[in-house]
Amino acid sequence: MTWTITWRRAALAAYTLAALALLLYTIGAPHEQGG
Amino acid sequence: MSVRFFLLTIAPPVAGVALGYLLGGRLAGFRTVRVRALWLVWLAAAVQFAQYSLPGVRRAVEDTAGVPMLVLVFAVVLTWLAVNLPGWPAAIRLAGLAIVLGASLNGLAIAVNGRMPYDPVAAADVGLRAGIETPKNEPADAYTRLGFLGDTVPVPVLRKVVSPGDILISGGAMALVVLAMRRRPITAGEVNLDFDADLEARHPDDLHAGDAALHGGRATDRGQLTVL
Repeated sequence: MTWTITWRRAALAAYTLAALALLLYTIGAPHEQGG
Repeated sequence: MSVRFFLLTIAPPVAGVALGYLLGGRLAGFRTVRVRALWLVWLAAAVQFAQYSLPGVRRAVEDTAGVPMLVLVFAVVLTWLAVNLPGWPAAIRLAGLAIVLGASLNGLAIAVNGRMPYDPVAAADVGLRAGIETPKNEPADAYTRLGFLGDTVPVPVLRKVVSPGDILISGGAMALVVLAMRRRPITAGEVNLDFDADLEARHPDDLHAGDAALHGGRATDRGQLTVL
């Protein structure tokens, strides 16, 4: 029970962080330097 | 996507998590921040990916919609932020606004120049070949407008030149993670379920078993103290 809740919390946090990284990719990618 | 750019993308959230833990925060704090319509972020990322990886799709969409795909990407991202920002706590909202401002400054520099201008001197400082042009970047020159919003800040450790907008975006993202982690989720043990104590605290003089105001209207409730 406790482990299930812990994993669910960890998964939720990981998902949120992944979304944030995705957001940075989305608004940062327009000017990635080629050099 | 280069490894360095990947680092630039995941570094702020990861650094935010590390700093959040150092400041006594926990990942559980994310549960206190409601994130809505996350599918919009996935949609924006998919459009962004298509823009740079599938030129045929890009041309088709731009011909149909009549606007650059980059405008569509920013519109979707700003819509997502507009949906979420009002519901977030004030400090986290500020961090979100820093991200919006950073993205807008970058967008402005790109919009007035066609591509993101970079400072050739700063590029040389971090070991990049001077004068290189890419579909997304061009060296700043006398004709560059709002050059100070371009990539002007050298980051030697990443061998990149970043813009003031990038700094706002990265700083905002890091602050957002730290602030979310430092929020304490309310646990069941912290909720005051002692209704009688609560009522006494609110109505120290009005708590009488026969008080009509504290009785429910239904027949089954008659004669019993009802918590309103």
